[in-house]
Amino acid sequence: MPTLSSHTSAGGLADRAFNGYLGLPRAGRWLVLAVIGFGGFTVLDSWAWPLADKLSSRADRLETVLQRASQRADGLPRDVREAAVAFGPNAVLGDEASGKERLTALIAEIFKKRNISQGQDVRPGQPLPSSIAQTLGSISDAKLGKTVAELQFKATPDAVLAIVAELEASPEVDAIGDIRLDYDPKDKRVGVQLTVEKWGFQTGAKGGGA
Amino acid sequence: MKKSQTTPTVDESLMAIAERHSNSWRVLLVRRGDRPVALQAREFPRTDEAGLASWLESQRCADLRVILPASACIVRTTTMPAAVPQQMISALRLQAEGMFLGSMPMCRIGLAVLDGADDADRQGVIMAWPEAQLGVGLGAKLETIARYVPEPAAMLLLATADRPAVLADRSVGSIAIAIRTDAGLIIRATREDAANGVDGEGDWIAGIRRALVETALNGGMEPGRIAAFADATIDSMTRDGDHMSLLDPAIRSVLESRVQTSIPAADEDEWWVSWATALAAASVACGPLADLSRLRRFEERSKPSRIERFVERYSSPPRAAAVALLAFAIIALAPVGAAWLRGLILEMKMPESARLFEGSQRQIEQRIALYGEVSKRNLPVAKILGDLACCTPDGIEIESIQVSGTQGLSVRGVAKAQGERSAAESVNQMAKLMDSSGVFRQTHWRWNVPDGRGLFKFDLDAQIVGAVRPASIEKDNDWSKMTLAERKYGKQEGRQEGSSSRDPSIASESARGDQGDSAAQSPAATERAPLAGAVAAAAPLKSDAEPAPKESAGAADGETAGAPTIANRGIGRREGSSAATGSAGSDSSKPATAPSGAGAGGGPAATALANTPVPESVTDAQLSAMSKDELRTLLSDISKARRRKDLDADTLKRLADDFDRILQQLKKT
Repeated sequence: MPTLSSHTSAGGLADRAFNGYLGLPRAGRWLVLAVIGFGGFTVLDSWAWPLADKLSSRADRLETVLQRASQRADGLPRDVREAAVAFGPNAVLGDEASGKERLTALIAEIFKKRNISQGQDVRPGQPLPSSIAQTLGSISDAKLGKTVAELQFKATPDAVLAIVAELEASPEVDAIGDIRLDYDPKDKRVGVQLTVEKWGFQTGAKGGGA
Repeated sequence: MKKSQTTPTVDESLMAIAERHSNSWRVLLVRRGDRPVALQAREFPRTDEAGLASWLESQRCADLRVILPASACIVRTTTMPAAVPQQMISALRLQAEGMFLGSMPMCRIGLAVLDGADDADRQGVIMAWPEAQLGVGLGAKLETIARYVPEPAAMLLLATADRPAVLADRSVGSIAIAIRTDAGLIIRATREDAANGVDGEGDWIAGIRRALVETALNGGMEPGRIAAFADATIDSMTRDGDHMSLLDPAIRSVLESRVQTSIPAADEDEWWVSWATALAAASVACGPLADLSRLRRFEERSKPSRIERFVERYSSPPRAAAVALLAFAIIALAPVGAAWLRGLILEMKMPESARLFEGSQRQIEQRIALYGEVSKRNLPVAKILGDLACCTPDGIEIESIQVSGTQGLSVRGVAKAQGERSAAESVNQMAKLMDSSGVFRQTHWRWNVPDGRGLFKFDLDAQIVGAVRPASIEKDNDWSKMTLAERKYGKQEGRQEGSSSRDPSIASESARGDQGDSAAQSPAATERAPLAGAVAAAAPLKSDAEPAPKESAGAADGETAGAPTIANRGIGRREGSSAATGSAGSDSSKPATAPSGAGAGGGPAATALANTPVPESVTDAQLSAMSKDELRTLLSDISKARRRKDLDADTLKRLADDFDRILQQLKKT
């Protein structure tokens, strides 16, 4: 197979192009160089470098994910372990409205199966500080809020504590706020006032927060 | 094995003249001599430089002379002073240096003094190859053996007195004209860049004509004859592709007088016309004009360094342009490729697709962060109630509990004397246990005046400082480890400490199966394992704190096992508790369900009596080592045990003996 030097078939065109370039006046040569330089920079700046940045950012993100996963594989921090033990399972934060629905459904189910009537006041949309949203990795910069259900009921001590434990253990409840238990010796029942919280991102709301 | 090296034998008498046409290389192999001999004439495709190099190697020819197009050359003629030839060359060199002012390397300049009618009428010729002109590009292999012959140098021999010589190549825009006049030889080398296409042909011919007119004017031709001369010359030119030429019809005889040939094709006149330039160049290279045939692209050095060779190799503008293009491509693509490859490698390390894995990890991180935020702002109520229960000693009945993230813990209850312990001591002990648990701090309490039965109501407040921290509670006070029945009546035989459902490890496994099922079913079950494990570890505490709902008591023994912890303490202790009802017969963790024992007679007192342990027998040495208090305690235990009615006679006798020995020992001390 013949060896093609830079001046052979393809080289003919290159030769002519180069000779044509040499035939240009000095200003024309500078102009050609400037056009080539600007075109090259435009290609790099508008396509190559942004693409490289995008891919590099993705690789950095994947590396961070792997590093964190590896660290977690070695064991969770003590405070997280203790919190998980104390609060029970939780769930990934979702839409506040759907969280409210699930919370009310859970409350209804718990009380229904014990045949207990409860007083209930569900107040959605109470904002949480924006710092919490940042901590919780709100990628959409959505506002974080909580649905607070205030419950009042009266039941036997066993039932009361079972209800409290079941509420707190449910992933549909992120936390139990204040609780007040009052034993009534007359009917041997415990009166309960407690608040139950479910956190979630408020759809359509951006940033801010109290 | 040592690589065998073949030393190529070079025939130094051979020389090859190469002329590049638009589509081919025409190569004439010549043996040097005063009258060189043309041995072979070959044509190679323009792209087949390798074939040309191989052929030269096979012919053992290491001297290649490449004809340089006139368009790449500068030609100047000058009248030389009468002097010896050496002085004339020196004078010519001075002229060349003055002409180019040092901008042209000497390797690219050829000098020659033409023969004249007499010494005073001799012409000097300066032929230069500017560095900016590529001329004929060659590969590295041929470049090392190549020297260049400017086309006008061959024209020196091709122009006759009868007819000018004209060579033109449209592909490179080269026009060479040589005219012999009375004033001497007029030689012209110029470039005419004609546009391609049909219209360009007219421009190309016009360019040749213009060059002819200018040359004729320069040669002193009468202006009236010039147009006719130009027209006649152009009309007489022959054409072969882009190549046009006009030579003397008697060129064969001119060339035959200078070059011999053994090539069969040389019998025809056409061959001499076709190869005229190469034959003339061969003659130039072997004659007194040989200096015009030794142009080099680069200065000849003894042994250029590797860097110099590299620089030279890439000094060729097209090659440098190709390298620049490649460098640009690398600059553009290398970061993209490197980042993509890095991402690919990282993706390969992931147990599932990057998108799923990243999503699941983000969820885990969010759940962990949620634990952090929730634990900052809220309290684990069930755990706090459980811890409070474990800190509540016997003798205290709680009537009201308030747990608040901001206000801490508030408890209202009733305390009563318990055995030798007063009511106040019970509350004090409760406060002490709470402060030492690590969960509560700064516990303080207030009480009212006791009533006639010795009961008094109290209010207790405490800060909650370690809500999620496992409470530091002694085993004897931990309801999940020791039930009320065990505290009051001792452990039942055949019952291990804590039911299996309260074994943390088993409970964790159970929790993984029960509570962690949602995590296990998710795509990232493996990655959630630590979190699921941590959550599962909550089971013992939570089961400790969770009272068993009556509806699920039969189904979930693991959870109901911890029910007495809270249900039998505080709020539910006095009425309505399972301890009072004594209904769950098989669950030994519930006080009222403990086996009554033979002869117990029924009722709580009988149950307590039946559960009274029988102290082991002690030796005299052991009695001697005991303190007075220990002896009294042991005496009390034996006394209680002797009241059991289900003991056999031997045991009763041993207990009586032990009782007497202890009494004796007490008297001694």
